[in-house]
Amino acid sequence: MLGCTCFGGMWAAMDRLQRELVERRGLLSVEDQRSLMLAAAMIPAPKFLAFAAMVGYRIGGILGAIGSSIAILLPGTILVLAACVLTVVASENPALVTIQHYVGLGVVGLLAGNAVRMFVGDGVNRRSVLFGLVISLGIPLYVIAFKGPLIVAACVGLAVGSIVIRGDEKRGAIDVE
Amino acid sequence: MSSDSSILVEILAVIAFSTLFSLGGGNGQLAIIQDHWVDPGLLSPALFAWAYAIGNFVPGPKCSFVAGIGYFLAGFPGAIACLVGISIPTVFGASLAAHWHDNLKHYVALFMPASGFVIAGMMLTAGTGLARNISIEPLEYLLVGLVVLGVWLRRWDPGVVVLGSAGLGVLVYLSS
Repeated sequence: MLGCTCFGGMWAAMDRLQRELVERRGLLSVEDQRSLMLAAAMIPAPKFLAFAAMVGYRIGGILGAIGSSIAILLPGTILVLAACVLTVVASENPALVTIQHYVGLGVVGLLAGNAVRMFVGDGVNRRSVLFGLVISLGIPLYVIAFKGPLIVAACVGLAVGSIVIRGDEKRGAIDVE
Repeated sequence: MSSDSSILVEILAVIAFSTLFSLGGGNGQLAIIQDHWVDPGLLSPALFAWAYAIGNFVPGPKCSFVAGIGYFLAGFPGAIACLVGISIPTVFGASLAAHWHDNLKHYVALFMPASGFVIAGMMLTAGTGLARNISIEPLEYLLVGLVVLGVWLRRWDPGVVVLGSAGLGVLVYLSS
């Protein structure tokens, strides 16, 4: 049901999740919910999906995690697929082509804006900014100018960054969608 | 193995791997998809952006947009491969995190400070690649710049940006 009624990502749905999981069904305490939400933001996976899997694991082990992941993904996926099927059917429509172009512009802006937000963060000292700048600009430079593989650039950046950037110097990617 | 099953295995593997770059909700995943399918011409940049945009309007996790990517690449089996691909590392990682939450915190903390910079670089790569692929007119860079400032300084919601961009597209179409 939460997969049908929660919009805007995990943090935006926090109140809705609390009403359903804590107050109505008593599956979690408020502290558990917040702790799991924070943990979901710290593991390498989409936050909302990871949160659902963690709640499922708490309730029913690995099968619970699988079941809750499917349940939270299914409604949105059906709608995405319906929209994509309609898009393919109307792919020659000039209005749709124009709209898609402008949506593409918006997505470019979103990616660049989120990149800047993620880079700036807060609580960043000068040394971290310098290393972070090299990593953040080095990845697109390596991929675009030198035609290098993105995966290699990202993995090297993460490995080097984890050595040279430490502690609470950088807040990380917690709240960027 | 037939070419059909090869593409499904490839979709599953790429999406599963790209999920690892969703650390903290960052969209490093987009950069992997862009790099693997959009830049080589296997997926049109318009459809890539479209699938991502739709994902911002549906209920539940926004990552359900990957189903659209899979559908555009290989039909409904491709969509299912994407869902399996995104679910495997998530369920595995989330179960581990739920089970050994306190022990894992230390290891995750090692990568957390650098992850923001790496994902920023990956998103910059994806944005630049998409911009090159969709042929932006000089005047349209003003719109992109406005969105960048709005997202950075005013924390514009992705749904608002997508809706505004689509609305502008409708206006441009009607006035042409």
